[in-house]
Amino acid sequence: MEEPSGPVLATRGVVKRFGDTVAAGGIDVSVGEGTVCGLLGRNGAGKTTLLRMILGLLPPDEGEVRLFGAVAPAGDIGARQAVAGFVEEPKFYPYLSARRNLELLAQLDSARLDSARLDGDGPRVTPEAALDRVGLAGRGRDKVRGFSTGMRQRLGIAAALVRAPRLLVLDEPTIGLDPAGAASVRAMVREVAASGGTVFLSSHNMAEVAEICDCVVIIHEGRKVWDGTLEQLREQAPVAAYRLRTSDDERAEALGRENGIDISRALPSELMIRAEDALRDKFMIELAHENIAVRQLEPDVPPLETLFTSLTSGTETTRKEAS
Amino acid sequence: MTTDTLPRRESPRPEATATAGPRPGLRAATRVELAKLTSQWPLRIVLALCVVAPIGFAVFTKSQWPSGPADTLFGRWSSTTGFATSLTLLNDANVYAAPLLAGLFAGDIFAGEDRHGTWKTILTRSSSRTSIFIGKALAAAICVWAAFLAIGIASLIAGVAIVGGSPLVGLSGQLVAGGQAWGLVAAAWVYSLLPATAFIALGLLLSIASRSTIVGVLGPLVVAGGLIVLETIDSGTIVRTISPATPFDAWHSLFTVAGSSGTLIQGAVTSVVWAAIFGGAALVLLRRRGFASSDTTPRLQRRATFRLAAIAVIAGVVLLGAAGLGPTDLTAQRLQASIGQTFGRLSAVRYAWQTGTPGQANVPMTATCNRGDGTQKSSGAGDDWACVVVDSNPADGAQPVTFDVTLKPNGCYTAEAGAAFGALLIGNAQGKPFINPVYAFDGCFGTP
Repeated sequence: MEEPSGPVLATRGVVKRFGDTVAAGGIDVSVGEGTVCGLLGRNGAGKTTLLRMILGLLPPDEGEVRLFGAVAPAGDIGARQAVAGFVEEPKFYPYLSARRNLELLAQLDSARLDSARLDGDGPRVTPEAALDRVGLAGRGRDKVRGFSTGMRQRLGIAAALVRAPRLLVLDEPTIGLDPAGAASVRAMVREVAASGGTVFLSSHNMAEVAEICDCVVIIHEGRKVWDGTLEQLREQAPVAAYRLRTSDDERAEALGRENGIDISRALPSELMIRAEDALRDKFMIELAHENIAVRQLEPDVPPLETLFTSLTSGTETTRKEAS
Repeated sequence: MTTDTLPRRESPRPEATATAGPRPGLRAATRVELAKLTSQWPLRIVLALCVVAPIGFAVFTKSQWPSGPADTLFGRWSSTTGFATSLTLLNDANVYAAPLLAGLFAGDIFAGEDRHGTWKTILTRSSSRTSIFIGKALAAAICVWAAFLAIGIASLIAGVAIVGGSPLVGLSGQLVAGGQAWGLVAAAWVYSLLPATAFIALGLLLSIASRSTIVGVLGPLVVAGGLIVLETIDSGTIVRTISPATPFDAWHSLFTVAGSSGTLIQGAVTSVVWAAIFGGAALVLLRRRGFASSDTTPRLQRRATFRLAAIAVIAGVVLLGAAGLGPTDLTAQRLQASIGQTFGRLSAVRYAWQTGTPGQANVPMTATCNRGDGTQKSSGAGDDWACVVVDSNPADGAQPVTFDVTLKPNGCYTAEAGAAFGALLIGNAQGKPFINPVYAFDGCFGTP
């Protein structure tokens, strides 16, 4: 089969205003096939508005959304046959069972009751299989009104999988999930990418994005402030900060300075150090040689998070300086 | 969760992706909406009541013989013949059940998506807004039609089985034999689906515009009630002609001797036009709606409801001002012509029932009608009409009789002459009692 000529998902200068508020101020995004791309931003940054425009729920005031190389106006169902996903918390009919919800949604996708698929060659995901994949196989007959937030989240992912999408758009898919559930969703997202699908997901969680994403788009106040691969992001990240407790903080602080470490006292009994990994390792060995016991060494703020914070805080001028 | 590996996807061609996959048709969207409606227990109970309640009504009515709800058309015969039992219910079904069913099934069908926050769930599938709209509209209509016809079928079958299949006394005083009555009663119920459809469309519009289940469900009933109140205020033809509630009366002409295909056609056109206006407006609202947030906030709901209430108040004031506009069809001439012929036929019916012999089909009568003391204009609805009926054949030697007549805005009337023609129950030659058809009677001469 011929390779697609462009990115699976692209937005070109999309603008969305609500009265005087600019929710999206000309955002350009490009996501290639088979990748997992994270959309990061603080609350109110415009993530969900952007996802709504991608899913066709909102028309952009300016700019365009392109899917698989073709312009996809809002409400154009044909352009989104290969797209699935959800924004905010997935919602279902509470008086129906989980399985019945998926069956009806599958019917809206296709006249076929037993499966929803894109075309004759496409993969088939039945409602039962989708429920099984998200760990709800045993709850398929239960009414959705009794589901917890996490179960609804998983059902939302199942509803997306039923469409056997080539582009999966997820809005904070692990929110409300317990750690095991969140890990399973992350694994599933990677599987989608491994099987040739593309995932565009929003998240607040930098660690989660660092774990599963190949690329990152960071937006702030409706504007893109950074995009690139995760490697590029890591390269730009500042040196990691660690909290250090020792048996002799005074000597440790002095020793650190002697070794060229950025070290300061954060609390009366705690030091804060910033250094590259190699320099930090050398410092730890030096401490041992000086008979100073290391009682605690833990990362303070992960570097990516530090970068994210610097990118998404302050005015536009300071953001530019940060990047 | 399982960790099965997803099947490897082939890279889609862009142009293929845009058009690939079977577009679900309207049938799928309609099936989905029907499944959602019929899965809700309250609506299942309503459907069941539509079957059970008419049976209960027939049993109750039978037990009340010889009396019946005389203030309702055909009500005085509802304990005598099952055809009248069904038509008595049709009157009430048109006033209450049709708008209520329209509200219950159509009024929540869009607002329910707001209540559950499921708009984004269905709009991110492969059905267009237009398909979803038509699917919802069809599903609501099918449910309302089914419930309405269930009342009709149950009341007709139960009425004939429990009350009996005696001939029906028509609205011109004629006797309608059982075979013909089956068809006419069925036709009356089926015809009433047309005005009911206009109220279904109104329910859809209110549901989309208000985003509120309460407004959507109760709105059609409130509007129908308002139109009925408007009818009683005055009876100008302009408002009656355009009112979506007027066609609910058009079936009356099926039971008059003259009949009136014009009334039926006009009612059908009015219903279709209103259904198109309400439905079209609802579709435009849905297509233009943005889904910037998933759930309708109470503030948005209140704003939409206030907007609708303002429109309703303005429409009400305009209609109130226009209620008396135009000529009235409720004239003394039409009432005289109708009441004379109806009384003549009923006199013949009474003779036939009393003697057991057919006698003449119609006793010629002439009537003179006036309102009040005769000084005011003799037109319009009211309960102060008086009609003096005279046997046109001097050889009969009958004395003129004065009827107190209540003329309703829909062109139907009730005439009572007290005991001038005997008691409510009189006996035939075999001593078997029957309801005296001229003790009090109903008739219709039709309005738009």
